[in-house]
Amino acid sequence: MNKLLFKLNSKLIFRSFIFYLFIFLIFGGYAFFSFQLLSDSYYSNYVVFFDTLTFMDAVMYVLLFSVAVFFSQQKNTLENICFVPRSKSVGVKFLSVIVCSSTICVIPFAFMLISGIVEKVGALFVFISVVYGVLRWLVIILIAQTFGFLIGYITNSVYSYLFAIPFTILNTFLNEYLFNWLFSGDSNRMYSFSHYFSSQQKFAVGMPVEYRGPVVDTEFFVKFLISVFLCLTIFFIIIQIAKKKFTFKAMSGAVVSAVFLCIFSAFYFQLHPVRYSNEEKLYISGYKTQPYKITSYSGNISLKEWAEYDIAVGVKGTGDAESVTLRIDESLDIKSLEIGGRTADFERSGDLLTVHSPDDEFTLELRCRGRISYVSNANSMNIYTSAVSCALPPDFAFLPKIDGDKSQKQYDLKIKSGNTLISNLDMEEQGDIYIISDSASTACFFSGFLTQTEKDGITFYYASCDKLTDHDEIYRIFREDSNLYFDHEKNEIVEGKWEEKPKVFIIYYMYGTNAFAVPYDDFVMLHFGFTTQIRGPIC
Amino acid sequence: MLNIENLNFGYKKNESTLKNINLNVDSGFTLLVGENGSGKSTLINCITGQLSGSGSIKINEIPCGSEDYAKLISYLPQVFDVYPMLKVREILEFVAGLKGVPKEEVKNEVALAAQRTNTDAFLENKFKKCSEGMKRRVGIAAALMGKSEVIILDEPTAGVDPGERRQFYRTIKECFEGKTVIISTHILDDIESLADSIIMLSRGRVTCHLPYGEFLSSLGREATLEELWMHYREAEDVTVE
Repeated sequence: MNKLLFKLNSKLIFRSFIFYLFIFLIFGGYAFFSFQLLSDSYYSNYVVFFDTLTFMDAVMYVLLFSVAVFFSQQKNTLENICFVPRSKSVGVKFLSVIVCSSTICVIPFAFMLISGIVEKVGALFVFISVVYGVLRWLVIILIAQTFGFLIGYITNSVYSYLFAIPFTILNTFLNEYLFNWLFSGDSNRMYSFSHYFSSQQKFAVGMPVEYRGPVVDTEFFVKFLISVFLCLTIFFIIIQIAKKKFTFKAMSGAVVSAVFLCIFSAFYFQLHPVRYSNEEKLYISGYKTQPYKITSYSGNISLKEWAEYDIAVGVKGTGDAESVTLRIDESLDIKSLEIGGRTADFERSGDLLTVHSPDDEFTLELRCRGRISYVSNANSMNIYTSAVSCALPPDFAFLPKIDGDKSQKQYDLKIKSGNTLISNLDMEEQGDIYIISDSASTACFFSGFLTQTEKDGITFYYASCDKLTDHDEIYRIFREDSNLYFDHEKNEIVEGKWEEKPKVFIIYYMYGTNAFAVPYDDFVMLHFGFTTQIRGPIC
Repeated sequence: MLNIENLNFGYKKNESTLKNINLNVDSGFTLLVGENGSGKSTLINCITGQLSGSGSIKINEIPCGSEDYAKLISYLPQVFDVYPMLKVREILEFVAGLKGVPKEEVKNEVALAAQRTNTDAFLENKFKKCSEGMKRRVGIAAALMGKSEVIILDEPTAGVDPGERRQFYRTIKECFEGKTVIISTHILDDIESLADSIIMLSRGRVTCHLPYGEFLSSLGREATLEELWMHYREAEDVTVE
């Protein structure tokens, strides 16, 4: 019977004027916004462009909500004369509306697929962007139509459509204003709640290292599951209301779904990236010089969402001290820390790790695991690890560091990465393992859709998915047009030309540099602005 | 046969819209009459299973509420206002499917019902394009679907002109011969030829359940329908078993 009811409802939906109007407005609105945005902005790739259609998302939310209200209030005369239980006809109608409305996902699907083929970005990139685009729209559809159907069914009034306004504000990026007011300046909580309630993507201006746009990471997938369980919870509540009396089956369905909703919600808040300030994680200028230096790093690193480090860190004394304070990011949980096979005596406070009574020269054997996920105060995800990409910039303590230690270190590491890995260190690729054997004063790792070319003895690293940017021109602007660069040790902008380096990273790097070049010993980071701006330093 | 025993129903606590209803309705055409608020619609809703009160309702010993019960009953509401954008054929096919007609028999059953109700020429028409009379015939065709033993018609000719009413009664007479048909109505004048028995409700009670001929002669003289109505409205239960 359910199959037949679904067929009936689908026919009714696909033949209704309201649904045609909805489809027309979605297609028309999408075309209009696309034309407007593409005519006056530049995008590094199609996924970044897709994510800037935030106003279209809000319009889509209103339309989806209204469509659900309309069908929730449709009379079920045919079902009634056939004595179909009310709960069944309402339940199937609810699911039919969502399934039929989901046909609009053909827009992101076709857009991502065609754009990917046109921009020749590769099969993996196309695949993850298609999955992301479709899931992102599904989240909006599920949330908008679940609330729309519930409100329409309960109120059964023409005024139900007015509820589209508060729900759109709550479930889109517009809720930032609301939560900003509620949490009065606590930006971490404000953004956590805002993103939790919003059906849209979280960082409208945020971008990963290679400008590829967001992908389906754990956090996004959890968000999708939250939408599914919210939908199921409300579905069972609607069934319960339709039955007009308590039924164990419907109530237990609602309770079980609500429990999953709560579990995934709690998980979401845990996964939500933490905001940081540049002085805390990157450009630490107030160094407390230590009587120790790091001489070597060796071991294995696995780059994924919960990255794993099993490394040995060689430490040598340069003066007298009873303890040494290292810096290792607090997001990494230390599983074991040993010196010479024995558990070391240590204390941790935030990013600082103090090891007591070490010898003059010793090796720290460290096993740690954690999810690095930081967002800058410009809403950019720019320190993170994930299955397909990571951004571990040079000043960031993803490996133990000693403040003020500028000495040369030997790196002998095996790094497992799900995508192309680049670094200032020389490396050899063996499948998904990168074998590193090099020495440098600092190290950085970036993985993602990245590529490299060589010109005049300089190696250039940049995004492989960004086919539209003239990287030679970017480099020329930084070298010739700009007379300023960013000093990472002093955390300030310095006047003058920077020395030519053998390795140049033309990638999205980090906030706080105002898009100036950031030179290090043997490489330079060229942060080249936002995806929708003219490329080059902001000066 | 429809059997109702000790049916009580109230929309609110301590309120009885139906009071201790006991009825055995055999095959044939039974008129269900009563003034507004007498409980006709509530009784129909209880019989169709949309409302549930205390007591029992059975068709051929199958209790109300079971899936089999729903297959044994057809209901034609006062206004057969189904989805206007569907074709007549689609409406009948969906009704057949929802009433448990096997998939392979649906087409035949629809064709047969359309033929019997003279709607076969309109099967491909959208429902919204049908005239009011045609819509009622589609409703009858829908009620013919499946293996219904009991047919409930709720005010089927309200707002219909006398000519069309006669045509309508002729159609239901032909289509539902041998079934248990309960017709809830206000208009007795032109339905007499159809009626085998009559049930009168007043203030939630059955005040009369008689063969129609007996009902007409029950006052022992040539009484008008209005006199009979007034008489039985105030009467205690007069039921012939």
